[in-house]
Formats: sequence, structure tokens, C-alpha cells
Amino acid sequence: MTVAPDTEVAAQPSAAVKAKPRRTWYLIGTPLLIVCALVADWLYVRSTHPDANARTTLQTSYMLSKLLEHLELTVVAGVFVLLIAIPLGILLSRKGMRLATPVVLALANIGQGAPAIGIIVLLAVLWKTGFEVAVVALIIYAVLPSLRNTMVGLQQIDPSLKEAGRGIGMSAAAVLFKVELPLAVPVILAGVRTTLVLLIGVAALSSLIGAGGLGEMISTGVQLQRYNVLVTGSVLVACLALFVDWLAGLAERYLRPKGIKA
Amino acid sequence: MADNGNGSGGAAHGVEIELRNLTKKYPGQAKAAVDDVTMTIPAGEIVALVGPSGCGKTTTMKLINRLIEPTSGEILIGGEDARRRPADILRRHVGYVIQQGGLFPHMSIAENVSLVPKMLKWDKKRTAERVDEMLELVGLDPANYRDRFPRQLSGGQQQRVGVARALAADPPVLLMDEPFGAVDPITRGRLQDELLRLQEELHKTIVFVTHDFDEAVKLGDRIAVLSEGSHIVQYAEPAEILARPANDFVRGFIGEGGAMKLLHVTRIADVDLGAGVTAKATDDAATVHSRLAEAEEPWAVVLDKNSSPVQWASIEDLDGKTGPVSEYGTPITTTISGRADLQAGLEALLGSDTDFVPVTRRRQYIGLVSLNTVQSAIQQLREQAKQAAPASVGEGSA
Ligand SMILES: Nc1ncnc2c1ncn2[C@@H]1O[C@H](COP(=O)(O)OP(=O)(O)O)[C@@H](O)[C@H]1O
Ligand SMILES: [Mg+2]
Repeated sequence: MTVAPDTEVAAQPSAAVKAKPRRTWYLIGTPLLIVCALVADWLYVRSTHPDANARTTLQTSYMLSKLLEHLELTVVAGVFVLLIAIPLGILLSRKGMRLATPVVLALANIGQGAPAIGIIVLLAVLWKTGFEVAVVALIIYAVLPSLRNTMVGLQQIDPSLKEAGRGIGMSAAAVLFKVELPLAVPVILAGVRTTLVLLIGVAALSSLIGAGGLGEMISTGVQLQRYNVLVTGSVLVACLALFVDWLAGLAERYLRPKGIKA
Repeated sequence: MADNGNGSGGAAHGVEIELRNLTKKYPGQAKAAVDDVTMTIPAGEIVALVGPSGCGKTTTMKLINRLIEPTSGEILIGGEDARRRPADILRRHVGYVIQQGGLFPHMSIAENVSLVPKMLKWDKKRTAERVDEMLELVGLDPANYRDRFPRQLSGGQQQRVGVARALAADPPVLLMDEPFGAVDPITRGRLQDELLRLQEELHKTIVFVTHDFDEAVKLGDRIAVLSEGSHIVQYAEPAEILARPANDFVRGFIGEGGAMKLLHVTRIADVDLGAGVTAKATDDAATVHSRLAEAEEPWAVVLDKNSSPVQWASIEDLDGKTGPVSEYGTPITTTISGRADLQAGLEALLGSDTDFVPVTRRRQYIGLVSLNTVQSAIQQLREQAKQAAPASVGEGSA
């Protein structure tokens, strides 16, 4: 770990630790938790006898459209994060790029260090409101874990392995694609997982600048003082985050190259 | 498959490596890590580079396969300038083994071993066959180990796979950088023995880096003792270095017990053995007795019809006796092969209840070894080394 030991980094190894396989109940534990949360919310909402105002927001079709908007924000921002973070992480882990590393990491740290709501509002003030702005804000906010884990994942590889690769006649590119990246996969995936969970959470703020998503339910709930709407919106965001974390956990499990100690 | 036709037929024998005024200066360092080194590594030999840590052994090695480019000087491999081919291509024809094998943990043993053949575009069948052949060569059952991952193997086994991977595409040259440095002494001894066995079969040119002088003595056909800057302090056969260290630096490296090590590198058959008095089993006891008396020897060695030593006959037991000498002998319990080293001879002597041990070559008697033989052999080795021209000293490093 040659990256600056700030709190972010301290937090990261625990994300890497998460990459360890859990017991099998993890496979069903999270989905079970999600189902329970949804059922509990449904029971709660029913007990509050929602009025007409609340019912418009609690319609399945409305909630579904907000969920899809939320996912769209997350997926689009997520794809961009990966397109930026992984190549940039690779580039920064090459020899000769050592000097640029602290600069880029400092920038990314600012992105995550600043309050998410600040970034979103600032961008909206400086630029405009809407989907694109929200996506850009999300990228800025969530690029760090993926970027850092890509770099750390590549840098932690035993240099003698890279040298062994070159020593038996593999090209630099072959060493990167056949040795370095496969060995870094667990750490990179742990970063991607953190990025995705962050994105789900922060995407809830996008409704502030008119980019939709489940955040809208939360704001509506607050504005109309309908707590059943507010709670349902929050529960949906939380469940979505859990679900994405679960999926990413599965990916970590099954994409980890065989032969690497878990 | 154009440029490597050696996979199926006989293995490629070693070729000569020549370093000419080789210098490597790392940027920002005052002294060159490798300073104007000139040396010839003969085809088919194991040359051990031995020297203190940081003296430039690894750098020298990496210059040969161009993991590092020299500041100046040149390298010829089999007479061909190493720079003639792109470095990646060159390295596919130069085996490289590092400490702990350098195996890729996410690839199975078979995948690891097949890397170079695949880069050379061998077809699948030939590659798979070669993998099995190589695993067998290094003493690992292919069926059992092929599909395992490196972490499921012991350190010694990983090291074997490392050797198998380096040899897979049958390179004429093998570079080994402290390959057995990280395994326990017993495993190391075994790996060393195995390397020697392999080499008897393969006749590669092997450059073997170590900081362990005893390892260099055991493995090297020649040893280059290096000091800082990869300066060659002495480059000679082990026996000569042991018998006549060029200076205190080399002496320091040999450490205690140089004479004992000398015993290690000398074959019994190569020293002057006592001839002893021999007799055929059918010889008459009285004749043998008189021959012993004449030679002033207390014992005769009785040989069977294949010239194998079978009995001792003492002059006392034969006194006044007639008939075949074999009737008065006592069986010989200890013999030693002429191919064994003097150290083994000494051990045999200490372990036997006679002052002499018969030496055989292909079971046939060739002489007797005694403490005296060993002692005079060492003296003689020292003498010989003194007479040898001092050409072996400091070759090249101006
Ligand atoms: N990549 C490098 N950059 C700078 N200096 C190096 C590098 N590799 C080795 N050196 C220096 O070169 C000298 C020889 O190193 P090396 O060849 O590794 O020695 P050995 O293998 O004999 O221990 C040492 O002083 C070492 O510090
Ligand atoms: Mg070294």
C-alpha cells in the first residue's frame, strides 16, 4: 500500500477484507433481509391508512418508475466511473507515472471528501440542473474507491512476479493482462462494490436538482409531511443498496481467479 | 514453430555465453553495479556466480537476458549478439528461474509450465505433452500435479515447477538466480542433486547465482567469485579455487574447512590410490604370503573372477598355509566407488574397521584408499594448483 495513509485508505482495507467469502448463509441472508424490510414497510404503510396524496406516490407504477430512474442514474454513473477509474488506475500504476499518483489521488479525495450534497448543488448552480449534472456529480463523488483499489490492487502485486513474467518472455502488455489484472481482480472488485453502494446512496440526492430517482419520494414525504411516503422511499433506497452490495459480493466470489487465496 | 524446432527431437544442448566489457550503471548511482566484466561461460557447463549480497550478481544475470540493458559492452549467446533479437523474443529462448519459482498463483501448474511454449505458438497437443514431460522430468507426477495451483504445493515443489517452466521450450541456456535460497536445507540438497541429474541429461549452459559458496562448489563446473561491481576475483574450477584461493577475499568466502570442501570436489578415482597386493581367489596361500612379505604389506585383497574385491587375507593368517588363498580370507564388508568424492572415502574409512577401503570402478578393483591417500591427495591438489598458471585469476575485470 503505497497510497497516502489518510482515513479513506484506512477505510479501504476493510472493503478489501469484505472480499473474503462469507459463509453460505450470506447467499440467502441479504435477500431475506431485503424481503423482510419490504414486508415490514408494507405492513407499516397499510397501518397508516394513506390518504389520497400519499397514495399517488405509493402507487406501484410510480415507485417503479422512480426505482428505474434511480437505477439509471447509478448504472450510468457506475459505467463512467469504471471507464475512468480502471484505465486511470492502470495508467497511474505504471512506472514513470509515480509522480502523478499523489495529485490524482488528492483530487479524487477532494471529490469524496466534500459533502455529496455540496457537489450536486454547486454543479447545479454553476452549470444546470438535470440528469447529466447529477451523473457528473455522482462520478466525482464515487470514483475514488474504484480508482484507489485499482491502483492498490496493482501495486500490491509482488514485483518478482512481474519480473518473472518479463523474464520468461512475456511482453509488458501480456504481463498486465495475464498477470497483474487477474491478480488485482479481488481488490478492484471490492472497490467497485464500494463505489456502487456509494452511488445508490448519493443518487437519492439527485432529486434535489430534478434528476429524479427514489430521492423524490423522500422529498415528497418531507414536504407533504407524509411519513409513510418518506419511510418507504428510504426503505427502497436502503434495500437497493443492500441488493447491489449483495450482487457485487457474488461477483467478487465468482470472478476471483481460482488459485488465489481468499 | 519456425524458430524452435527442438521440442520433439533431442533436447537443445547448451551454447556458450560471452560477456564482453559489460558495464551497467544504474541512474543516480556513483558506482557501476556491474563494472567492465568480461567472461566466457562454456557451453554445457554450470557456472556458479558467487559473491556477497549487493555485488551485482542479479544485475549481471538480468543483463544476460536483457531484463536490464547494459550501459556498455556486449553479450554473445551462442556467438550471436543478444541485441539482435527483440528482448521478449530472446527471453523465450533463455530459461529464467528465480527464488521461490516465481509461479503465477492464479494459474494452474500446467498453465504456468505451458506459458513459453504457448508464446512460441506450439500447438495444443505438443504443448500439453511437453507440460507432462517437463513435470515428469522434475519429479512431479503430471496426473497429480497438472491441475493444482501453486499454493497447493510445497516450496520445494514450486521450485521444481519453476525449473520445469524455464525448461519447457527447451532453451539452450538457463539462468538461475538464487533459486534454492528460500527452501529448507534438506529440500535444498535434494533440489541440488536433482539439478545435477537433470544437467547430466540435458547439458544446458547454466548460470547459477548463489551467495552460498558450498552450493557453488557442489553445483558449479566452474565458479566465478565476484566482488563489488561484479568484479571477477577468481574464475576457476571448484577444486582449484579451494586449493588455491586467489586472495583473502576468496579465502574469506571459502570460510572454514576449505580442505574438507576440497575433499568434496575430488573423486577418489582421480587421486593416486595405493595399489595394494592383490590375489586371485585360486592363488596359492604360500605364494601370496611371500608376495606380502616382499611388499611389506600386512593384507592382500582377494579378487573374484570378475576382479571384484571379495576378501582380505592377512599375512598372519596365511603364514605356513597352502591351498587356495580364499580359504583363509575374511569377507570385505566395505568398498567404495571411484566416482564417490574423497569426503565419502574418508567417511567409509572412518566407518570401517580396516585402515584401507578397496576402491572399485564398475565393481572392478582399482586400488585402495587410506588416510594417507587422502592426505597426500590434498597436498598434491594444492601443489597442482600452485603450478597451474595464474590465468584463472581476475580474468577480464581490468
Ligand atoms: N533497479 C535498481 N536501481 C538502482 N540500483 C540497483 C537496482 N538493482 C540493483 N541495484 C544496486 O546494484 C547493486 C547490485 O545489486 P544486485 O545485482 O541485486 O546484487 P546481488 O544480486 O549480487 O545481491 C546494489 O548496490 C544494488 O543496490
Ligand atoms: Mg541478487
